[in-house]
Amino acid sequence: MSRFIINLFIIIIPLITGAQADTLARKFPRISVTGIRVGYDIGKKAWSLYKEGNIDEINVYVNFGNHILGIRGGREDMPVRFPLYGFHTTGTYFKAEYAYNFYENWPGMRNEITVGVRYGTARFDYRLDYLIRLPVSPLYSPDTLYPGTRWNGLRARWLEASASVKAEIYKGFFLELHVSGKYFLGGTRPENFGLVYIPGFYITNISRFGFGLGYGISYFFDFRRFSSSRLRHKETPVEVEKTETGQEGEGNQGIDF
Amino acid sequence: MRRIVFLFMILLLGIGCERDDLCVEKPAVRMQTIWTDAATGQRAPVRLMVLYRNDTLIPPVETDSLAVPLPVDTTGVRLVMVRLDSLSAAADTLDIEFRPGEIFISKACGFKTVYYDARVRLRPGNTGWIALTEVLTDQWVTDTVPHVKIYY
Repeated sequence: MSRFIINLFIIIIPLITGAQADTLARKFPRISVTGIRVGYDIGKKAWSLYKEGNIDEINVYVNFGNHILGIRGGREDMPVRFPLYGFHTTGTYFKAEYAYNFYENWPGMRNEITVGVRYGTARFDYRLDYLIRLPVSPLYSPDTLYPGTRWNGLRARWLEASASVKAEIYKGFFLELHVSGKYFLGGTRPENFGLVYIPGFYITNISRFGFGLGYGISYFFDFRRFSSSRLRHKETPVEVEKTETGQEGEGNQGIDF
Repeated sequence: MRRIVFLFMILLLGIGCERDDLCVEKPAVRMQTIWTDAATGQRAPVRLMVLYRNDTLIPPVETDSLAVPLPVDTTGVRLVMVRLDSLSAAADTLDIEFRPGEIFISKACGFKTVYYDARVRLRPGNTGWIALTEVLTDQWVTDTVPHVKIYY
């Protein structure tokens, strides 16, 4: 994994796990964190390698019951080829998401079928590798140029509506399929060029709509609810049941992993 | 509710259907010429053809405005204007010089070749059916405005 992905893990996960969860529960007594999901999009990785580029995308989701908040972050280094010109794009993108899980799991199951919305933003650069000049008349010859023109610091933003299916395959590991419809909001247009390809959005179209498809794997850290009722149990003495042998009952043992 | 979600996924797939992004632009700007009667100063149709290296670039046509294709891989071209409506053969040669550039049109079209710092000169020793050439603008970036007025 790239250093970018590792840094993202280091920043995001400690904000949610461990003692931070207790702090969150004290400040927001109505919010119960039921789990955290960390995933990686293997479909984009495979597609990018096939296209002789590289895309790394990770996602981190926090479950509050059926309500899910999350972010997706990615880094792209992709060649983009058209018949008459080709360029290279490098950049990063982030998507913030809210989703709702509609799937009613049986006890012990943790599958999800979610529908959500995302806001995406990207920062990227272009490098024009080649362009072909075509003449109007067949009596003339075409010409290929290698300008190497660069456009740096480009930005773009968009909205997405997404739907996903997550199925547990083995003890906390999930396979995920998600599709999304995208709408391009705007961005900085490079001089004498166009916002043809945006990391995270893919190829732009005249209609401003786009489409996304992803296939990934994830691991789900299943918490018990860090609810205010649990905190009250910690702060006030609890009557302990005595068994027939006189031993104390087990009570609540803590986070169930 | 699950069926609704799956239908929603199919709907999102449908957003991926886009109409074909076709290019209707010409890949290069052409030299837009206006043919003018030198005696009256008015536009007047003339029957002519244009040759490039003894090949027919533009077949015989009668017109008072002619769009002449230019090469994209050089900084100049020599074209022979052959008048066809006179009793005797009349062929004059124009030397056209320019600096090609490109303007981005769209994702489908890519770049369009345009011409900067354009000049048109009548070669000496011609039959003389072309009297004078006047360059109206030396920045040939669009086909919608005249570039050169040719008096005959």
